[in-house]
Amino acid sequence: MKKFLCFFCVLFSLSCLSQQKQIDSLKKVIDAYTHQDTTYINLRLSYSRKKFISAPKDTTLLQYSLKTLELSKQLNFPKGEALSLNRIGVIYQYVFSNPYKAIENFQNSLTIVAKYGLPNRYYVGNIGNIANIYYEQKENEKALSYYKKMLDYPAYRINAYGYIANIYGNLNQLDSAIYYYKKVDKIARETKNVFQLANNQSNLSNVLSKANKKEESIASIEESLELIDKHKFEFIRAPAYSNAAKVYFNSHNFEKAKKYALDALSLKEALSNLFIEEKLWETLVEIYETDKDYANALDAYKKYVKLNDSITSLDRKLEISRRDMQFKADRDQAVAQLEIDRQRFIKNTSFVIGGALLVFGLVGYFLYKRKRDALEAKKVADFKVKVADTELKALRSQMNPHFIFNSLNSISDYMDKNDVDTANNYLVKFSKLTRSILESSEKKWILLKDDIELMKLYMDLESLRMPNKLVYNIAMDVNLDLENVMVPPLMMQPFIENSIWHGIAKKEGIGTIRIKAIKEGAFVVFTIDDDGVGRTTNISIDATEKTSLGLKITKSRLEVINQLKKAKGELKIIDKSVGVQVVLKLPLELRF
Amino acid sequence: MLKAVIIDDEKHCISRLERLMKPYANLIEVVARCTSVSNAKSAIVLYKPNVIFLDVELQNETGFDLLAQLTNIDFEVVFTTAHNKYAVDAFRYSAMDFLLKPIGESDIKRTLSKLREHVSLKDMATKIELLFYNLESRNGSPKKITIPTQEGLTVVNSSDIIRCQSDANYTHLYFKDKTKIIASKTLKYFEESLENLGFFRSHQSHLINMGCINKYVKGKGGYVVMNDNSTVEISVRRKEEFLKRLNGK
Repeated sequence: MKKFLCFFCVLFSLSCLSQQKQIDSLKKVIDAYTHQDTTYINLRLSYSRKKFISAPKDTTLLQYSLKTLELSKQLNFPKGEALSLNRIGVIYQYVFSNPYKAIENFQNSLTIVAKYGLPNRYYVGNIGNIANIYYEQKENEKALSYYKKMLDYPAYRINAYGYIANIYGNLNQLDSAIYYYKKVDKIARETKNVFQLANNQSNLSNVLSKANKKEESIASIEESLELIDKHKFEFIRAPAYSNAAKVYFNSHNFEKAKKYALDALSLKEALSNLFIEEKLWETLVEIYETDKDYANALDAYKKYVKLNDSITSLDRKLEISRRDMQFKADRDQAVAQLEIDRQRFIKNTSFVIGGALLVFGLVGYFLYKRKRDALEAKKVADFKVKVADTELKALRSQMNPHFIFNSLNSISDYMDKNDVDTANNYLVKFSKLTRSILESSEKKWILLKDDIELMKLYMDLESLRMPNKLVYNIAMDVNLDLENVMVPPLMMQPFIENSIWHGIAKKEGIGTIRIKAIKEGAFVVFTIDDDGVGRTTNISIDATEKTSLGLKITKSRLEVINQLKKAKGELKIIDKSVGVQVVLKLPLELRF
Repeated sequence: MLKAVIIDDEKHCISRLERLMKPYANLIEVVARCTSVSNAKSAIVLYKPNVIFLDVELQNETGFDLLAQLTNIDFEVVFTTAHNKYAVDAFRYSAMDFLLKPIGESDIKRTLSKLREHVSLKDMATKIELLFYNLESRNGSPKKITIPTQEGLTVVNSSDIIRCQSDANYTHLYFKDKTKIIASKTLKYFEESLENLGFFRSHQSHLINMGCINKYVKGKGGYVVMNDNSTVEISVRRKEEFLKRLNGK
């Protein structure tokens, strides 16, 4: 997260040298100016911007900008007013570290932009500033909503996508993070923005590695490192090395991991950024432990703990501007985490000693083999149990009691209202769906054609439950032979249900669900798109705890299929700027 | 105008069926509604209907009991049932028309348009005879099925069929006595009625009787040699399941 920040700071400082001269001459022009007209205000605004970049700690700029604001008001000059407010916001944010005061000024600036219909760039500038503050304050939900507003303006899109991806990465919503990094990637390549590309590939590799996509993560970091070497992007070298160490460690290439971690530590940029240095030591602890190099591991661990402590105290300073309550909770958590880490280390060390003793105790290969065979048999048995369990649960979720009784209730409601035709239509569809589900649940695979019919029936029923609310369309790849392609019954149903009840039901007006299936090599890729209110991003970091039952079941069904077909099917859930997209990749199964 | 008798032990089912037929008042008229076998018997004698809608479960009797007690069946029979797999299988073998409850508007429309086409009554007798044969021959014993051809209905023992081969919208059926019938139905239709009778869809265009295989020759998918020395390909994707079935699993 901090990588982006340091990148922008560096850009500021790079441009400051050449600007010193301009600032001085500008100052002279302003001092010599006698009229107080709009040109005068424009000059003042230009001066304050340049001055801020060259001397970001100058507190007198606040008085200066307040005066500019005052003059703009007297002259009835909205552009001057909006820009002064923006400057004041920036000053509060960076000079006085007062994010709340800063946001207040940005909001006031926005009000003026809207009131006088000023050009879009004034609007986006404020939005971007507010988004960055929320981002730094880790108010992810708010930051996201502001970044998503920036997406309407092409020039800002690449940065907004990058930040959105970072947020999803921090929230561990990895599919979404990857999705947005890939958007940055696309734009960077199209516009030949090599710097963004290098930085983005480095960030992407980190998330891919977390998502356990080893090959892709290595490809990303390698491209990033190559670009950094070629174009000498020194200020992102340290974070890239840090990511490389993590990526290679996760891919079990310990030698390379160690090399990059140590190389990174020899860069002065890494040592000037506590967060990167801390991450590097953390990675090194893991590397040394794997190497069984306990002396170095302990050494690295001590450094890690020390940095962790100072970061915690740094965080503490930042937190002071926040509400007191949250401060306490965060500190307690940090202390507890430290304690847990310590305990874990002690535990790990004692395990290693115990393990060494055990080696002497091992009598021979046969004991090991016998155990392995037993484990293998247990694995097979477990898998069978899992298959049976998953099938049962899948049926349960499709014949969700909630759905059954609510349907019956809706039928009864139509009868109360004397709408016999609708009640009848509803009832017949309901019983057809019930019968089909019961019949198809006996089968592990059904024809794609039949599965589409089931989905249609299901969506027809749901749209009867909420009239004039739901529209759907289904598009099938012409390369898919509906009479020959087989799919597990109703894999998509839980997602359609989620889209309807968590996306579209909560939305005002009509919602649309688009279902698409295309053939991609040896896979069928289903996409379900809705334009509902989307998932709330205000979820705990450990997103797995909150996953719905339907999602769990589908994941487990997919695992069973992957294991049986030795395939790599995938499930992705992507938070779009509007609505949610679910992508389900299944191995292509043909009947004949 | 068709005269209809509805036989069902549930009043709701009778009135629902009647309501569904209301839009077709110029085509069909319900002349009697009965809730028991004895009741229905006298109504049929009295009204001489063209068609009866007959529920399978009639309290402690069945719709089959009614048909067994009638000496002369000169009307169409449409069975109705909520969920009875055994009966539904028997209907399929005999190509009897049946409606699953709750009945939808489109279901009744389809049935009435079939009635309008006047399937010959000779066929009805054949179908009912076959229905009884299949209902009585319990598990394991050979079943008879009806085969719709261009000339009409042919009845055969399912175990006499060696294999079926698709030919666009027609199906060629090969028999143990070296005869062959061309049926006016798709292979899918036969797959549905024969899959529970020891038949296996080995290929997009082949349905084979697992009891009539002489040998299996290994290959990518491999092929089988049937009793009549014909060879039938096994599709690669069906091979695994075919071997499972062959080994009696």
